[in-house]
Amino acid sequence: MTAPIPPTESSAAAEAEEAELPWQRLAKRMLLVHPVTEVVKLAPALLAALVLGTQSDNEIWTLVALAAVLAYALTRWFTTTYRVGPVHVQLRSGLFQRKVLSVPRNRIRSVDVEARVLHRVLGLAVLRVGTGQHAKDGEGFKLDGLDAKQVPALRAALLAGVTTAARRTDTAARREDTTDAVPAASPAPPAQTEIGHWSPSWVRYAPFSLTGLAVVAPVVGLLAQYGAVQWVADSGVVSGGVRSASRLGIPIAIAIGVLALLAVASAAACVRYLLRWGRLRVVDAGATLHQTSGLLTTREVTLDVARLRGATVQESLLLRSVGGAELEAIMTGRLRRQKVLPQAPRREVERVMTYLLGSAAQFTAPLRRHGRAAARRRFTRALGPVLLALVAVAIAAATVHVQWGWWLIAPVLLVAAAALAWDRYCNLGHAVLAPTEPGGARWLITRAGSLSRDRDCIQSAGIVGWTVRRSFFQRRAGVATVCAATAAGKGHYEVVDLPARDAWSLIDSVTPGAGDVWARYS
Amino acid sequence: MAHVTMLDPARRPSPKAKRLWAINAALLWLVPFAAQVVWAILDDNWTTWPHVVVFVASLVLAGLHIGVVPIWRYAVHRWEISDTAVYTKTGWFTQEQRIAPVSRVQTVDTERGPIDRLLGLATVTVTTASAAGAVTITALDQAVADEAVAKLTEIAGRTGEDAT
Repeated sequence: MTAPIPPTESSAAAEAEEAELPWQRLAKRMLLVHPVTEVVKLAPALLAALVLGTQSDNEIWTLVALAAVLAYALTRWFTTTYRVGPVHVQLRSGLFQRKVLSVPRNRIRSVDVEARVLHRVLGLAVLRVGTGQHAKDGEGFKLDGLDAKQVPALRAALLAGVTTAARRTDTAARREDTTDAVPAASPAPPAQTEIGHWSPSWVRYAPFSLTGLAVVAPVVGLLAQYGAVQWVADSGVVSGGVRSASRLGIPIAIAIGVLALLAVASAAACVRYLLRWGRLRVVDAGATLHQTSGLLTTREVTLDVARLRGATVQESLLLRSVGGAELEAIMTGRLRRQKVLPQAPRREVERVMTYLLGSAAQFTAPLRRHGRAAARRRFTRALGPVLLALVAVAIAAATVHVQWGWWLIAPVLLVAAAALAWDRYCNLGHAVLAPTEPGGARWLITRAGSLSRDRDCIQSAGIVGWTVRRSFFQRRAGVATVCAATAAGKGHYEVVDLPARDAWSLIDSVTPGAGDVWARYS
Repeated sequence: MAHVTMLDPARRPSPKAKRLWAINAALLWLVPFAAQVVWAILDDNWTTWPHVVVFVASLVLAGLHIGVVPIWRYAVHRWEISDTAVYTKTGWFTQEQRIAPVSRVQTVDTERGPIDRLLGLATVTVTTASAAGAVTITALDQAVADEAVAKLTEIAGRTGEDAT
């Protein structure tokens, strides 16, 4: 069943040879998977058929619908074929509308592998081929249902092109300064170094993000739609709870409610974290990084090192308070922001990032603060809305009676806003890393935020343009926002509220000569 | 670290730019005024204070937008193309200086809206690999725009390297 995989070539002879290659089918076991996925996908229609069947006392409708779905599902296996030639990989599919998808092998930039629960039980995996172009969902090159044993060899053969391409297009963007840290892309088989390894204890960081609430909120919303909230509210536990709450008083009842919500959200966050990131491994295979993760559904993602332009350390206030962080790679191409490590210990993030970027300075370098004007602007922004709201309430209080106890909230709000402003100022900063060796890369590091804080480290070679922006108020305060445009990651990285006179000095120190003929040095 | 200051780009947009911005602003204000007329007709009580206040406020804002902003904007806007980079200064309330090396330029477009055509103007947009890195030179005389595009494409053709 498995044909040998020819090495990459591009010549007329190879193309002729490719046209002669036989088409192969996907794994036979997919005949078991397709019906299940189609039935799940078309569950509402089948349910309607079932209702129709029972109402008309004619069960045949249900059976006809089910048979149609199953037959359609089975045709997917019979109509889908693929072949791996020396020049292209090709996928032919469709029952009525035949479609052939061809991807030139020298354009392949990533090969990702995913296996959902059913696939794993049957020893199957889905292989996705990426070319660095944006593909719509379901439009990309996807071999759904290969024997999992066959996948590593196919993946290595398809990625062999990336290894040589990365060596060929060794432009300034390549990370010269890291060649001593990363084993240079050696000829196949490439050296495999494990650089990140998940540990079950990391799950303690999962509750310190808002993902739990993100999971719980839609579920609660859905239940509320179907009247479950009414049912819960009427149940004995809750009405008993309400009776005891009325004895305790409203503040305590609210506190208990918040605690219960936090407990549920934390549990949900932990479960989600385990399912998505459990058994995470990051492996360096020379020109590519391989990331595998997932407890039930396993994912295997390839990152093309030649497309790496930097990294972001994400530390939300909550995560920071328990010494955790997240790491994201800044890439050009399709996956512009790829999570390398989820919520993990800070020192682990530091270690992986140091390996990835080739030096520890990106993580540890002290940042320059932006001065008094920037601090003042942080305070105006945090305190302004609070003061406005208080004035509005005070005006309203002239006509409506407000209990004096509510005014106790005002100082609390003001102190919280001031603390937030101070933290935002302390976190605001930037640094420029000069090359450690002649011809090495320069780096721009910028950090901002409080409740969520990002430290973005971008390689100067990835920056394609600069903007210095000053609003009316920024001009009055003598500050400016410097924005580095890049094709990677978020697309632009900002240094906010820098003293205006330093703006172009910063730009020149990251990309010398960026000011072109208009720059004046003093 | 040497201290770096930047000169302003040398060239201004076409003098007709002020008229272009004023006309565009006026067209934008047609909608709110039309809405107010409809409101006045439906309400039948157009001399009451909400009508008068809203009308006067929008009259003042429209006057500023049509009369003052184009002059302010014209005083700020500058552009220049050197042998290796394109540099613009734009805006009025929020001002931006944008620079992109020509070696990173991907496409050069010329755009002419209906009002632009009426006045014989054109807008040149220089895009880079980043969505945030596009440099736009607005309100140029047609001949100047053609010359700028020719210069940019000529330089970009000379320096052919990967623009990401």
